[in-house]
Amino acid sequence: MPIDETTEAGQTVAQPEIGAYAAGWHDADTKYSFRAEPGLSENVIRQISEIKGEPQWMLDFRLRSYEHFLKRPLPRWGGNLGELDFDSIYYYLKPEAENARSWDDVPEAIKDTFEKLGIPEAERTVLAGVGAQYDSETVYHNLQQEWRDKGVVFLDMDGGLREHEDIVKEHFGTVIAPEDNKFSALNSAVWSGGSFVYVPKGVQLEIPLQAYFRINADRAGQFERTLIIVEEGAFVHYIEGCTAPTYASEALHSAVVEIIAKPGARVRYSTVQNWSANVYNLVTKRAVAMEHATVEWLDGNIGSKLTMKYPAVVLAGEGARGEVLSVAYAKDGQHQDTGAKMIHVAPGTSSRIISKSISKGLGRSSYRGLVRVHSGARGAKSNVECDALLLDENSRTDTYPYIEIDEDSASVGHEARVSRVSEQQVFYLMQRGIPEPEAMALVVSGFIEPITKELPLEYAVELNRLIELEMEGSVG
Amino acid sequence: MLKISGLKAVVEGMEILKGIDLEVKPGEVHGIMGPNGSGKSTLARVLSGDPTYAVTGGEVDYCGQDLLAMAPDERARTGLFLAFQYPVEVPGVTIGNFLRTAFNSRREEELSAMEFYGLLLNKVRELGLADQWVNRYLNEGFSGGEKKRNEILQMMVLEPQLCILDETDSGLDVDALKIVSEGVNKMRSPERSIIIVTHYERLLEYIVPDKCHIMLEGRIVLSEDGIDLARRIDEQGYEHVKQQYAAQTQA
Amino acid sequence: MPATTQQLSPVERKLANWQPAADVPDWFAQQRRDARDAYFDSALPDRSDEAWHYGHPQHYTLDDLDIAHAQPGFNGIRYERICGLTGQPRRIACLSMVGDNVAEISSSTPLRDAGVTVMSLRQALALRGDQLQDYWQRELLKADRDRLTASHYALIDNGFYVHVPAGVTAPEPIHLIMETGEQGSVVAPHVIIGAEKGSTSTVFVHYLGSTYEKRNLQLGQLHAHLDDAAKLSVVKVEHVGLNTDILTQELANVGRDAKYVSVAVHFGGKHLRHEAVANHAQPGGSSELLGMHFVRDRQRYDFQTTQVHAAPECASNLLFKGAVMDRGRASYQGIIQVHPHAQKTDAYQTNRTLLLSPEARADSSPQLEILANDVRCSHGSTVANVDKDQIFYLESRGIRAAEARRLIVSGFMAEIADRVPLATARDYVYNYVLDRVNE
Repeated sequence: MPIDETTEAGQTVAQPEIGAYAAGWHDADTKYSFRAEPGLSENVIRQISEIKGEPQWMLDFRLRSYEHFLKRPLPRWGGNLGELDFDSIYYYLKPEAENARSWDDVPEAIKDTFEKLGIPEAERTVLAGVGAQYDSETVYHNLQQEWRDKGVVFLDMDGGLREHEDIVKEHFGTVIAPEDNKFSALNSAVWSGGSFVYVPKGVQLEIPLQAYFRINADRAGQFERTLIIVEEGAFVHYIEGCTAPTYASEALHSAVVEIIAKPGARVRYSTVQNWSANVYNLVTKRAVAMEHATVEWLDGNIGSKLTMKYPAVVLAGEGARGEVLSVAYAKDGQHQDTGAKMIHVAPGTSSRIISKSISKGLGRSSYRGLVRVHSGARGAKSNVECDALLLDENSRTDTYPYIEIDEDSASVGHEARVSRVSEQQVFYLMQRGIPEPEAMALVVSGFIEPITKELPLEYAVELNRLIELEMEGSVG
Repeated sequence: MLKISGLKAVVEGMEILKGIDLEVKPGEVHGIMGPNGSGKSTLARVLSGDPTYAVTGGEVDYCGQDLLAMAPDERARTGLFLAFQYPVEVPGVTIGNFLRTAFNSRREEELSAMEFYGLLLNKVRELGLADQWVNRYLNEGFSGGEKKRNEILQMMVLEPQLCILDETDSGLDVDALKIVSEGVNKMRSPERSIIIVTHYERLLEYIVPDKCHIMLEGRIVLSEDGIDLARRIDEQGYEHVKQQYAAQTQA
Repeated sequence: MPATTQQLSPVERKLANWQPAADVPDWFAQQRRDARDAYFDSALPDRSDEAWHYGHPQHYTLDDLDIAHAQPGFNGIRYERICGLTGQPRRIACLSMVGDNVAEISSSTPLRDAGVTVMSLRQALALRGDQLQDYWQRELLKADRDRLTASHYALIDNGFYVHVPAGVTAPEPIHLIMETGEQGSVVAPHVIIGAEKGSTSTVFVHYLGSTYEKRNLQLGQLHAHLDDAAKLSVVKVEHVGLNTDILTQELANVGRDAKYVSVAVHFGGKHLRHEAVANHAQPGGSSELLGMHFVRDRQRYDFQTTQVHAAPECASNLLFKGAVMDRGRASYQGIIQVHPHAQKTDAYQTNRTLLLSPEARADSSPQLEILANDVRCSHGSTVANVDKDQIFYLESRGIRAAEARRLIVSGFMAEIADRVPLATARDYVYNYVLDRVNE
């Protein structure tokens, strides 16, 4: 039962429980042309595949994944998954809307939602292409003509499968096998939507592509699947944003993102995740970087009830470079279990992880990371820095790094620090006339500055604004 | 403008200020001198509301308001400014962003970013600093001299009514001292008062005070008009005053 | 109790039929019985248990082993080795144990005059039963934690008891020497050190042994109890035979304003796991856990440390340094736990590993769990080979590459070795490191 069940459609309402969460409204009158029964079964999976009109191999892939999902136990580490009820989740919700290339063709209620989130506006000003997913299906996808002419493909994943089956078949599930973990198996079984991006050799997409994910229905599961293939020497920056309404019962977001960066390519993948506080966000993200390719994950985690996400780069080609910059913010009732994985397979590879986390009230943020250097990755280098900021007396932070080195010429370092906002810093700012809450917010924004400065300005502002919003009332 | 009577303060159970009386009128510049440990920096910090110190007695009237009842940011917004002896580092926060926030916090209407940066850059150049200065993180990795200049820059931008300079001369070479003093002197006006807390007389030669005070063991023991008292200290040291004070208290 | 005795190793059969000797106190007999039951009822630690992330519980089982029966006898080699470690044994307090049989090598008049007790566990059970039971109840490990811990408690036949009375400064270090038994045997020595209020003492613990064709197992535990303002340094040198598996557990209860220093030096053995715990349940205490190890051949070392801050205003510092050669592998997993309200905690944890040959391996997982905000906590970990720039710098001064490497490795170890508070033992440690680097 939604908390705000009496609300008229499209109205933004205050959410007393969640306070500052501004994206917490939901659209009550959205029509679904297909709503699978709650719970997961082979039948549900066959229905999804049939509605999408998929080739047999994809159905086989889904069923194989489902089989593994059933066998695989829940992870015993990370966050508390005990309350997650797989049987009450709706695994497939197809809104009554076709995938449009113009916002005019998007149903009014859904368009309103994205207007409120500022997506069409951003598309006009700063983006090369936009995809928007509403529950299980993509409702809008468009790439500017200029980039289409250069051979760039930016489709929803289902469209990608229809129009570029060969490329999809060759790469789908090769970076993250269904058997990788329980949630990659789940996604592989019931995936729907997500993006398919293909950037041809040498094409430099100077402005970013953006995908926006919105969960709207109560007890919804969203399982988008993204595959990004960037050919030799090409560049793309892909941005992902996520919000959901605030419901009393849990929603599940479990995405799989696979990136293949061919020799000399560079991919940057930025996420500002602001799920409402009832969403389990259990995501597997991994990239393969070939010779001299660079993959950068920028990961901002502000929302959700529990996030477990560790973007990974497999440094498979000589001289490949991987980077994860992540910010996590956990307040009361939230657990951000986030981090990164760097797998060094080839010689001369390098990686860097910078993680900044903020815990407020009884919030808990955990860094969990892996740096593995395989034998033969001569001269591999990796450096990890974790900083945690604790705002309140009982806030919690954990650090769980794993370093596994099988190569004597590697050089690997890890450092972590825990601090709080110092009284003298706040006093200094207050002495200049800045009120205490703003002074705190300023110190916090300074703390995450090393990460926000890597984001395009609009997103850096957005991230700071979100944190400032979350900080409101943090000084009693 | 400022009237201090019987002000007492402790830190970690130790009484540092043992009853300070001081009146500063609009437009006046006061020099407060004293040897190390005399409590002069504590006075500066207590006036600005540093939570490290606990006030145990006395009153401070600031433009008709009870200064001690105000939070540090309120004091700042009513025009009290402390140039810190050891400004704290605030990583990741640019000087520009910080000063704009501080500047707008005391105005009804916010100045646009463009207008503000125009104003800021003028002051930056006046202090002989490069434009890039505004993009540096607040005091992070600054040398002692850079920190001091940055304090004066803030003072020039925020244009306070009452400026308290705490050992602003320490860590500055002669050239920097000149630039900083010029900046302060430009700010002298009939409406603005300045208190200069210093160990050495040097700074007072550049910013000539209307009144000088000597602090010893938490009290103001000597006050005179003009700069002569400071010059005497420069020539004779504090020893002479100490003996005089000891004789006085015994008698 | 096991349903069938057919699959059991000789030592397990003896455990199943174990009866206490007549002269041990009831509480001790009972604890051994309980531990025996726990052994047969419990499972090996699961590798999904975070504390065993890199460890291999199956290396430390009782399979195929028998209880050690070796008689103490001091042949020349053994005697020389002990002298090398401790200086001249005749002039210092030194208790030695082979298998579970203890022989006093020498005793020190000054220590005795100061009121310091150094005796075997069996002696202590007979003479200081009540005192011992009190310490026993405060031990941080319980037999039913897992099968490996239970096996130690079920097998304890002997060990050492050191007691330093309130206010006493022990005039010289105390040496405890434990040797593994004959081949194919297990030893489970249990050491209890009680440092009373305001006392100061240093205890050396030497584990020695020979290399045999058949596997040996050493399950040693050391429990240190520091009362208010006590100062205790424990230096452990582990240097047993190359076919010995070792599981050692060293735990300290650090009292109010007490100061605990532990230096753990590890050479030798085949598979080795060292667990160390510094428990701060009283405010104001400090602990320092220092470790160094040299891993070679196909040795596998696994370290697991815990710094618990349950009380405010305590400081703990940990530094473990290791060098790995040949096909050796060193793993470290450690955690700092700061409980809610343990404000003003200062806790640090550092693990540094040098990989000195192409097939050497290292794992490191330094962890933090912080539930209070007014704390200073940090950790760091590095894994790398000897810095090429450092070697080049020394070479440019005319030093040959091999010599440069030797200098750098011993320099790397010096930070820990220098903390060994006795010249002879320090030299022993240095010489071992230099010999290995020269090989």
